[in-house]
Amino acid sequence: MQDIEKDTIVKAAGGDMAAFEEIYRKTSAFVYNVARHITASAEDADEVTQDVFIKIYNNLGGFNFLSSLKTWIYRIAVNTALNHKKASGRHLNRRADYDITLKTAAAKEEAKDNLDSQAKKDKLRRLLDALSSEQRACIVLREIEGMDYKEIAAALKIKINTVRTRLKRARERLINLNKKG
Amino acid sequence: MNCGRIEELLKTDYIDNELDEKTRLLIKEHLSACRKCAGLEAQLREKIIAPFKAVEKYHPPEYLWQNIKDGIAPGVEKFPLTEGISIADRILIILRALKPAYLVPVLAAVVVIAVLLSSPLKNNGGLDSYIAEQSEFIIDNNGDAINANGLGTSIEEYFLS
Repeated sequence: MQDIEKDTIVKAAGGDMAAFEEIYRKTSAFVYNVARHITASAEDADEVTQDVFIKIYNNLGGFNFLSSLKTWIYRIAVNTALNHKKASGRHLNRRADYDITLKTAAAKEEAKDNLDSQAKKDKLRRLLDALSSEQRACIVLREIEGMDYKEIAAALKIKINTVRTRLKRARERLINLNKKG
Repeated sequence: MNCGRIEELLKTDYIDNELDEKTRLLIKEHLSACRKCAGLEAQLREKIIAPFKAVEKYHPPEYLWQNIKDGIAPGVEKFPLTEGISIADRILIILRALKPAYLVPVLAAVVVIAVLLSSPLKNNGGLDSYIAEQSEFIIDNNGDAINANGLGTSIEEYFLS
């Protein structure tokens, strides 16, 4: 994620849409990518990203500069995505048939695309599906976003040792998954 | 360092480059001599880490920005931020925003209000009824005192006037 100047934040907090768009352009790739991997759905990633940026806009006035804007956005993005996943998990049974229809249609469409790329995405999806929401968030931030332990701890508001434990358990689970085939 | 400890570090700090140089070299030395631990390292890198690195990143579709702009148009209901800032953080922000001169009086006022709200006298039915009884008693006595100097009722007026 690119750095954002204080002046831009102050302008955006005052309702300057051009300044807010600059923040969006610099941070939306991270927010969308994390949302997409945590929720495992393009539609949910859209909703989470919209929700996150509306929250950011409405609350920029209360941003205190005690932490960096990036950390603040990381935290909002991950928590919103995790909450969205939990909420949609409650409706999973009702959505199951709808999802299968969507996936079938999407699979046919994606078959036209690069098969190698699709195989990689499928493998990644299987790995992430094997993890709990908390482990998945840590793995996405570490492996896909390349954040270090300190940054992950700040984003998730947990201790560094908790980050370490979650990553270790996630990797042990993934090793077992690989052994099973 | 035994294999158990090495395995722990392989799954976390070593693979994530979070170790100091001295420990990292110790582990590297161990890996060159221990096939079991070297096998775990290879498995971690090839099967667990590599699949995540190989996937291209997703990018937000362009229509999202338009949706967000529509969502934050004037008159749209604001979303309360519950995930970003905890209650403790909010209190900290308010306290830091106060000038030092006002900090002590504000804290004192908060403590007094908290004590009053949690006071055992609050919502005390016994105390309330006692005060009500005493008030009635005082009012009644005052009334008697007033009536003692004159004719209080129409019957008294009939017989005594």
